[in-house]
Amino acid sequence: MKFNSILTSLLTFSFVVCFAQETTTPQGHTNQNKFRQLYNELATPNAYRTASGAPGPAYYQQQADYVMELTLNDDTQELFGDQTVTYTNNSPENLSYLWLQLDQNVRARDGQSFDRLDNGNDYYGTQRAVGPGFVNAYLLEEKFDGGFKIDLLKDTNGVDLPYTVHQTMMRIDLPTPLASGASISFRLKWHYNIPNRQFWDARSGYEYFKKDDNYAYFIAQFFPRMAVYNDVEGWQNQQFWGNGEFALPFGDYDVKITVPDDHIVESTGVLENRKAVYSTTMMKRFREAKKSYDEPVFIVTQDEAEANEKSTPTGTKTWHFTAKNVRDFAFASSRKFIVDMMNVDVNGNDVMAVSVYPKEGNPLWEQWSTKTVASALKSYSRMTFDYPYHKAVSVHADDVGMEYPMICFNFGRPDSDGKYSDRTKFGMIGVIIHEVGHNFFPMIVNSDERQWGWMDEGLNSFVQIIAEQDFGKSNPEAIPGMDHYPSDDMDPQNIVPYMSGDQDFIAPIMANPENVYQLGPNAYSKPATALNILRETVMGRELFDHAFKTFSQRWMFKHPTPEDFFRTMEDASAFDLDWFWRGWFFTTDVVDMGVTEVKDIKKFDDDMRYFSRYLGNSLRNLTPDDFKNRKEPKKFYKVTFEKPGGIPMPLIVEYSYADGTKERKTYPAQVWRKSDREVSKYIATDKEIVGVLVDPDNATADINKDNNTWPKTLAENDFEKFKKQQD
Amino acid sequence: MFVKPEQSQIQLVVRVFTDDFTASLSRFTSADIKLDPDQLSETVISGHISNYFQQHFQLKSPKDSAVFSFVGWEYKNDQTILYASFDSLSEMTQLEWSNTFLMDVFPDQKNIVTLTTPKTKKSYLHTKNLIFAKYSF
Repeated sequence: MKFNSILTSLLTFSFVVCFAQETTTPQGHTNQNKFRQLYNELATPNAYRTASGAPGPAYYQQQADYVMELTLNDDTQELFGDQTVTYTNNSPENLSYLWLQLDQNVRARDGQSFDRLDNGNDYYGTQRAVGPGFVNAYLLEEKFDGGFKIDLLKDTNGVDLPYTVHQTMMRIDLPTPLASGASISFRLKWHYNIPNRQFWDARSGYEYFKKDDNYAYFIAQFFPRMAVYNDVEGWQNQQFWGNGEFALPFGDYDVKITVPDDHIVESTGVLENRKAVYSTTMMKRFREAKKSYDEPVFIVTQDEAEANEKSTPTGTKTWHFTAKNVRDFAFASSRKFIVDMMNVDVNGNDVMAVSVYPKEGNPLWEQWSTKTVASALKSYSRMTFDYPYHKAVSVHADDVGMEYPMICFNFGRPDSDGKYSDRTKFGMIGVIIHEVGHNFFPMIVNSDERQWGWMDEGLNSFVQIIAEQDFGKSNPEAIPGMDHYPSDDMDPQNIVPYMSGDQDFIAPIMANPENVYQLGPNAYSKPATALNILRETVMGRELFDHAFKTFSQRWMFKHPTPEDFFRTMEDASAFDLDWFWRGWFFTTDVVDMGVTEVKDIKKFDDDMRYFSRYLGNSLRNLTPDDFKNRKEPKKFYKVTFEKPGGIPMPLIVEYSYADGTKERKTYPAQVWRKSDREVSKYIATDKEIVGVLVDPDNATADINKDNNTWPKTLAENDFEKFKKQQD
Repeated sequence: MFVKPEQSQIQLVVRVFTDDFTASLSRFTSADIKLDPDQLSETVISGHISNYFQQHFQLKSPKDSAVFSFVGWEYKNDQTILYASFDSLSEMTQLEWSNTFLMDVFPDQKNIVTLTTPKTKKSYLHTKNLIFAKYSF
């Protein structure tokens, strides 16, 4: 019975243990692994948008065609429009009402854009995007009557259509629902006071040149535009508050613009009556420009533009443009404009690069604008698809960069004495590349800017880095003394001040542009840097470029969502990147990896138990004879790395040895998949490790360099680095 | 702002948008300032910036022995980065400062000061109605 007695005792003991455990019952957890799939974050794939990231068999998009007659009043700075919209409902649903965008209402007297600002907490950039700030807006309110005045809305039979204006959105109530597959046409007449673009810090408007008493007009978001209706948002009718840009359907445009007869006009679309509006000399030069692929040809020279400045119109002239499959329409008009053009060969297709600028842009603009447009078209076409339109126009407007189909408004103005700094020059070249690049994102790869600012700004800013580097290579005279173009977002370290900043003022990239604190880093720099790191450090150029091009081509002339981008990048590359999207796009986590310990653990004994212990089962059953001819490493290290930062990234390590040699090793990001905070690696070597450096090329945007070295050396901060340079 | 007690020093790195800073500096000096060494000597520009710095970032505590040094400035993209320090500080039990950078030109200006000590990192928001901040060790 002794046996039984022991058994009883053990059971009792066991019971006590179990009882004790009940008070500390392990609590389970959901899958928090950083490498889990994004099933909870991403919309479920469906027939409209597939799991591969491509448009599905049921994908559809609406069509909005416009016929417009516009009149610009240069005396009163008013624009009058008479437009007929034909809207085709390709959705499977019937629509009982239509939503149109009235962006000019952002400056209406009863507009609420300024009222939304929190003057205590709105971070820099929010007010910039909408206007001159509350105080000035208040003072100006009495003077400027902005916003659309709707003069007429009728159906094709001349019957009034009921409508409701809600801030920057206008709902047209249809007498009978617009059936799936059906079209409806209606006529709208409107006018509005054109805002002083510089005062309002507006995306479009006029600039007044006091010296010669002339105006230049940069006209955009100027007509009631159809909102997008799709499978994701239904009607995308979020208000235009100022920061969130546009969601627009594709359509065909036929636009006649009547301006003073001494004005020069450039716009979206094909100029249908060039012979009627160009002089004989201009026509001759235009034909020359079509043959020039190296140097721009002046269509209007500076001398001629300066003579025009002094002229007075004798009447009006109507410029007629048409555009197929564009998502918007914009134009510029002034008697001050100089024009030059150069043809660009984009993989066998001729595209005209055009620059339009007042003399105030020279000498910078005549030298670099058109060449920059040409270079950008080639680079973006290489990374995505061949530019499908017949021209790309760069217009000089002070202190703004804004994009529309085929035409964009760009800053970069020399001082009044014609001098300019490198900063002004590179700012101008950079913004032209960026805004021309917007032809690809979002004018053609037509994402929803109102909801996802990063989808066009981030993707575009990323390709901009590549296009700027191309420009520097093909125009070395533009970057004297430099080995490459100084791209803002190329160096991952440049995003560190933002990512390591106060979390109270940072939002995830996957946020609406109206709700973020620092729109520039949030929607532009961080996604651009992330994609550059993804290309250079995670995926490699070949796999990345193929996937990026696949996404661009799949969604060319369509409406992609973030899911479509994330999924295509994985689908086309066999890279599971959910961990990357989660860390960089869905969180405000940071990259911080380091090395904590290097331990020489070699205590070799002859029976190789040590090896067995550390190197696992593969060696465990080997006999000493198996090791007779083994090459025994002189050193056996355990190196421990830490990851205080939330974003898992490839662990790039440079080992330095006593003999002066160095060795690089890149462990994939998946090294962190089971231990998010700390991992160790064994190093068998004949050489003594004297140093370990994590992220030696600063390729991961690691925010803390103090833990990147062994032996530990505190990294210099920016002050100390600058001071050292000075000394 | 990097606090270095062992060196009795506070190191300041200020990032401002160049256009905004030029406007504020021009108002401060009552001159049309361009931060361009081709147009204005480096010494003159540094002198202006140093004076501006001392006017718009003031150390209230510890104050008695503090020696301000303007180290220099550089461009980075569309920003100008200014470097300065307070040296020979007496024992640091508390830091108190005021920050009015750019607020003369932009009434709604928001400045964030990130203070880094050997042990901690903390951020402070400054507005026209909140120009002072304090940190106790």
